[in-house]
Amino acid sequence: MSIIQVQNLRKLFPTQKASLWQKEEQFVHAIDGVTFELRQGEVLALVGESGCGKSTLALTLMGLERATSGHIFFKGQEVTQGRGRDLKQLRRQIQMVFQDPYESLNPTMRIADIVAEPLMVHGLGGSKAARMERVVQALEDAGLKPAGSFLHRYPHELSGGQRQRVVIAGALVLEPTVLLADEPVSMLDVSIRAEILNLLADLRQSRGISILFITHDLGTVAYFADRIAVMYLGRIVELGETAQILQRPQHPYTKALLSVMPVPNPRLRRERIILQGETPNPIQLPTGCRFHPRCPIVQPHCAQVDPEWREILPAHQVACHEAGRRDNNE
Amino acid sequence: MIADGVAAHALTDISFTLREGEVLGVVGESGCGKTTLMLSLLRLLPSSGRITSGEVLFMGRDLLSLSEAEMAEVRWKNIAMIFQGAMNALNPVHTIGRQIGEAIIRHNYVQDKKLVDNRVAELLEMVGINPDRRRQYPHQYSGGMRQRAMIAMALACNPQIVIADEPTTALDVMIQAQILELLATLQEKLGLAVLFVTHDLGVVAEMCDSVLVMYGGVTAEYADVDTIFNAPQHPYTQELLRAFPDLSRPTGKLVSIPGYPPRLTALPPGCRFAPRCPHVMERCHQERPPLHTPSPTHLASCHLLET
Amino acid sequence: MSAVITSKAPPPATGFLGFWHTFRRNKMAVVGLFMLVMAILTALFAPQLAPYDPKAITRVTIEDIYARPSAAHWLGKDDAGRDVLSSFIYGSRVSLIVGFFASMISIFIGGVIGIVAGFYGGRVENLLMRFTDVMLVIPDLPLTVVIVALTKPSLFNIIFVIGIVGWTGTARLVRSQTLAVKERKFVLRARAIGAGNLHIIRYHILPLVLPLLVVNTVLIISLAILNESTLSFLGLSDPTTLSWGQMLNFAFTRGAMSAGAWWVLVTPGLGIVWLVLGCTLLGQGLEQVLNPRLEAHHLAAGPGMVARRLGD
Repeated sequence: MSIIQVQNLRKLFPTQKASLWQKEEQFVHAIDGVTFELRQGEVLALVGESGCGKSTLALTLMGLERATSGHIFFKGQEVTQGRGRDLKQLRRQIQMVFQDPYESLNPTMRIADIVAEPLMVHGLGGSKAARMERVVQALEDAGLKPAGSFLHRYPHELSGGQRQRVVIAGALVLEPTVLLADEPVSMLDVSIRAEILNLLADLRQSRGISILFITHDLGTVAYFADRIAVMYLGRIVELGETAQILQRPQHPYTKALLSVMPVPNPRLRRERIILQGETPNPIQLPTGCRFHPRCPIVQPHCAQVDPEWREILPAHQVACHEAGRRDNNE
Repeated sequence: MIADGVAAHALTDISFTLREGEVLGVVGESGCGKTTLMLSLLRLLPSSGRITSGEVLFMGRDLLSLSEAEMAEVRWKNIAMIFQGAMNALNPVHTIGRQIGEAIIRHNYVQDKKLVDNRVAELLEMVGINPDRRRQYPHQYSGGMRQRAMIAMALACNPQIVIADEPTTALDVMIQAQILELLATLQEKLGLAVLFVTHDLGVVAEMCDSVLVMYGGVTAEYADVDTIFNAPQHPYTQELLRAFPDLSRPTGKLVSIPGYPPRLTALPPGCRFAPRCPHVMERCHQERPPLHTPSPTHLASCHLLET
Repeated sequence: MSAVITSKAPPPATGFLGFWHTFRRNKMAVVGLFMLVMAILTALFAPQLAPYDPKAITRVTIEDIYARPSAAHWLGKDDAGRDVLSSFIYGSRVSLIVGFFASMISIFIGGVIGIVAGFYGGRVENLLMRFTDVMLVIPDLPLTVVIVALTKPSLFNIIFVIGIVGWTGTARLVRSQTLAVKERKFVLRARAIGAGNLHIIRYHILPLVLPLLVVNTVLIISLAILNESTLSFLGLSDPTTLSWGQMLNFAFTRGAMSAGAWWVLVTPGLGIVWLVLGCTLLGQGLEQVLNPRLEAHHLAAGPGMVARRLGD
């Protein structure tokens, strides 16, 4: 059962208004035709490099950015252009965890007030005492034990990992159905990352929360996501089960990404597919397949025809003319 | 001058050798002292920092006993540095070419304007930037290109040693791969010795010949790369490896090390890893372990290695 | 090799005690606070401190006019034979009252305009900031003189006029701080949990703009005091309220200069300098205390510092 369904979502940011000198209005194509679903209780990883539109996608799902076109359904109800009360209700159900735990907490507020803030905003939790009870519960659920010792502290007194737990507690306190985690561990030390990932995995298990996990790091995803969606220049280019994507990637971009993931084993120094150049700017998109200028297996028609989104294997979709067509896997 | 601050021992008893043409990885989490180590080597510690003891021998000369002028000579000419976050390390109001040229002129490598310009072009070519772009400003470069320009600047005076401080941390995976490949090629071609400071074990495995693992300002383990990854002796190294995601064994479980890295102002009295160590013993809390040598080229500071 | 890093910055403390701890170590702020407190105490206990009642009707002989300082009258007498010290002590009241209340008005207007402009942006911001610019380019003094001249010169009017003229700087300052705070991630997080604009301003913008406002208030007080003195000196104050500016005005217009009665001029002048200096020192000291980021700390500043070293 899908909890969030996204259909052909587009988000353009105007960069220059049409003027006397500039005839045409220009746009940054942050998200350009994205379709996927987040299923009940699953962890879907959205993987891509910076500028591929993955963070904008999260903000658009929350209604923090307004979609240019396309549809977002939450539990079957369209929420794309929601406003006011509808939007507030949506934000009770979907919570976000941000990348930078040093920046996403207000330095002037105590931990108790930070975690209680969502309750206050939504007028939930009843009396002050009842509210505090929920705060304590959320902090303990997020692994900050004993919660009492954290309540009256300020963010700067906590370590990065603890702060990220506070952010998670603040998200849990509303008992959301969906968590959007935008690079929740990339700013943390390696020895702390696993803890936060395991915490998220536990929450999914115990509460059936669906998680959209946004990251640039395929390594952390492998341990924890059910499905992986790979994004490139505002589009999903490949989507499938984690094991499928990791072992039998079909899109040349996915293959390249996987090949350059550093492996912590000096005996395994392997051949890497290093794409030359950088991601083209999202204002003037390449014609045809948007990956073709950097594609190692590019064919003449790739520059003309935009590849369609097709199911290449069961539950495994890809947008590439060449994927599976020839034996370019081996 | 210690007014009313707290003196923190950022580094204690760090020893290592960097041979000609060797790539040494320095690994550790935030606050483990890697940055302090690097700045100490170049004698660039902030005014609040002091090197209290020890020596840094560079080709037989102790860098710590040199005068400031002599040290300035060594910096960049012999030992150059690539910084993390190229955006902050480049001056936004000068062209890339001018900034690299300045590094050349300042260190008297060449004086003639024409020669300097040629050298800048040569350097840019070497790091894979079209030499025609030397007249552009940092903001016209992408993140990856800025990092390349930083590398060109570090190589300006043909140094023997390059210290690379998290050179790829803020970059995307694909750009990171490009920069690492470039560094590896240049290192081989120019016979550079590289001190590679990073928190990324994957990068270490791919780039380095030997590894120094630091924890709480001390050496945890120091050995060649194969030993570190396949026969680590220090519990911290072992745990760190288990916490690091490895796509070559996707069935394994990601393990975390409980607790948090120590703050330099509140170091535990005994072994600094004791509060988080899975094999902790009573004496670990009181006694600092000495550096044991499980093999002649392998150092590890752990009481378990005492036999 | 071993190295030691001395962390100069004390552990960031919180609450009032923590604030006091850092404040105490800032000489400038402590001196400023001392000067201001002295002035406030003088104003509060004026009836007890002043040796004579400056408003009392006294019989004046020719010797009393501009009488030199003596044991009975430490700072001499003025043109009407009144004790200068007593007038000076009572005069501090008006300066402080005008300073405090006028700066409150300025801070309130400037704060609201700055926050609203910075937070809402777009057309609202454009409108408010253009209005601010207009107010900014009109010279303050002529404007105040005109307004005071048009209204009845009373203490209340003076406070009001100084207040509504002096907010432009605050508005610009607060706006830029609001713009910076607005972009921070915790504001986005607040939006993501469903918070509305008022909630965000109240809990996330205001607390972070407040330190700036406090500093600004103290600095504005000194400006207001100076303005009040100027207006009084120009004879635009209520002639029945005794203030330092007015003392100067009387001294100036009634021939203190030619009579060589320096004490009548210097006393209120020094009083104004004392207050303005106190406020300025306190304001600048507070700025350093409340904004520790102005001081470099930790190794995080490493690369920048190294680059500078390499460049010299």
